[in-house]
Amino acid sequence: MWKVYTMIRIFTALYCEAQPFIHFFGLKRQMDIRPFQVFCGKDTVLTVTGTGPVQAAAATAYQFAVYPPQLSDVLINVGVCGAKQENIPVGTLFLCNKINEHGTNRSFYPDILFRHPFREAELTTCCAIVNNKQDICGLLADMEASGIFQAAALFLQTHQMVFLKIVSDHLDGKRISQDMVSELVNTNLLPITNWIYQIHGAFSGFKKVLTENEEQAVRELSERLKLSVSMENQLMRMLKFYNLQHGTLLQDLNVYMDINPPIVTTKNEGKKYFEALKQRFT
Amino acid sequence: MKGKNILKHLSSDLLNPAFSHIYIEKAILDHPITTRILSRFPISRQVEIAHYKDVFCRSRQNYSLQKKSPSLILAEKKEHWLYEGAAVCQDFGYRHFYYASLAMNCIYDCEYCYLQGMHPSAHIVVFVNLKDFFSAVERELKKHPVYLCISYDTDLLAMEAFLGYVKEWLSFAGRHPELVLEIRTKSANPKILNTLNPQENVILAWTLSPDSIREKFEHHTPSLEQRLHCIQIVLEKGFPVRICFDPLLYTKNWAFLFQELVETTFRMIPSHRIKDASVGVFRITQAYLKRLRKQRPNSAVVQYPFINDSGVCHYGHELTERMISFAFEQLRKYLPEDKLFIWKG
Repeated sequence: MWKVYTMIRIFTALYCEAQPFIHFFGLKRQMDIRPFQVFCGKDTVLTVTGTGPVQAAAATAYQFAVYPPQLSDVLINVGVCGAKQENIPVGTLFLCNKINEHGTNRSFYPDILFRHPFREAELTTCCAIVNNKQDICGLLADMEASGIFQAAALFLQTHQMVFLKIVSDHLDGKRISQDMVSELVNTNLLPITNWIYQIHGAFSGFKKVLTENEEQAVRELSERLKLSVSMENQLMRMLKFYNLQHGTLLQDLNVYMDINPPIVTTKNEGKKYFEALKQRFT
Repeated sequence: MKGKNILKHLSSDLLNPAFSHIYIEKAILDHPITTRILSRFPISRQVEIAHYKDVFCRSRQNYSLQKKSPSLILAEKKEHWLYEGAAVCQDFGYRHFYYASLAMNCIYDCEYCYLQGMHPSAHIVVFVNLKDFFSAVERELKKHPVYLCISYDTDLLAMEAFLGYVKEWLSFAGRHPELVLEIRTKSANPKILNTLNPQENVILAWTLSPDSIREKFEHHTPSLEQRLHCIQIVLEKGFPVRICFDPLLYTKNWAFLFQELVETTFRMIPSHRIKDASVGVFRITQAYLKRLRKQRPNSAVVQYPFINDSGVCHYGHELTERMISFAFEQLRKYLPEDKLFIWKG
């Protein structure tokens, strides 16, 4: 199994929807993963969920179990959908700002914080194929989004989930070939992938208050002072605060310890030294 | 990995502008205040919702990122129009002290703001059923006089350009002399202030901070000079004005900064024209602080190793006392003791 770091997680219901992304990202099928078709690349995982919200929820949860979530992940659910209005051309791409669940009348709202070039619409997810337009709230209908949202919401934050739907029919019961579905996705591939790269790139740049070295130095000091876990936490917080204010923690801590070497043999001596540190570093 | 801060370096042009999306409860789609507010944002995308909590109270929202791209949520408040003043708030000697939550969250982004600990979302909720708030106040006024703060969980004056609530409250207060209103703000919009008619029973209260504190911790807020300029304008108009040095933050050179702040303030504002002033050292409930620290891992102001005193976190009695005494001493140079309200916990 490939080790994947910050991830673009793509979910499609059908293989024909996934195919353009598999080619574009150069993804490889993970043969050791059985229940669902999973494809991986350097920073991308794609799962073909199967149709229906339950299948979609199961596949989503499964992917998160295999590849644990991170705050830098972006989830994209891409697929074809039906549109209520005849005047919406086949192939039109929408970003969903509201997802209704047909069976329960519940609604879900992905946080749309990033600028995007797409049209927005409300979508209803149904458990079965819908031919009666009156059953649909909003403009669009699909069979997976609400399942994916509910499963992914256990792992990701609301702004990390994106639901992109491409109109393939007008809920008139006409069958569409797999090639036609791939073609519709392919037509919209570049706008989608360009945008994904743009927002995914923005998720980097995390800076911790203390570096690994500084954290290690604080832990070593705590050990030398024979501090309890609670006192070690206090020490860590205090020194983080100092570093946020001055930015010279290690340098100043070393100078202090050179002048006042922490020679501690009992817990009481450790406590006294800790109190002195408090005076100096807050 | 911790990291509400993960997007700290996010280029702002990747984010939607504020109020790019407006969520509106179905029940108030045709409310006149809804219509008025929506007319101010003609290009915002409108999303119909059943209840504001469906958006505002979702789990796993990124507060700090939402702060950079807040949506507006228009809703109807169905209960709790008035709350009794909280124990950590200054009552300024009024016996019947209430506050009203006409809106939740504000357009500014102060790192120490308790709202981050209070609300799961940084999106801004505005309740449009203003008349219900007025009725609730009138019910209380039948029993006793009321001191009411209407800009605690938000900054109404900062949003006055599209809300117009301050104007409506001023007119309401004009009809109810037994009501005393406090409208607290960090805003500085002379154009708006010039449109307001003063009322004796409406106190405009400005929170003042040194510019270096503002630059570090009070993002998007107007400068000290701009705020002071606005105080000059409303004093000229005849409003009672309160100045709030609250929260007083502990930083490397807090004493110097505070002294300079007080001197600058009273160089621009004649002290005898100020109704009163309040001072309070930063304090926050333990539960709010916990959430705030998660939201702001890199903020010095919230990462201070506070002392937890029965669920209220503060700088510790010794430091608090030192800061309060110093502040009192500085303010006494300009204001008599009976005009000074010190928060002592």
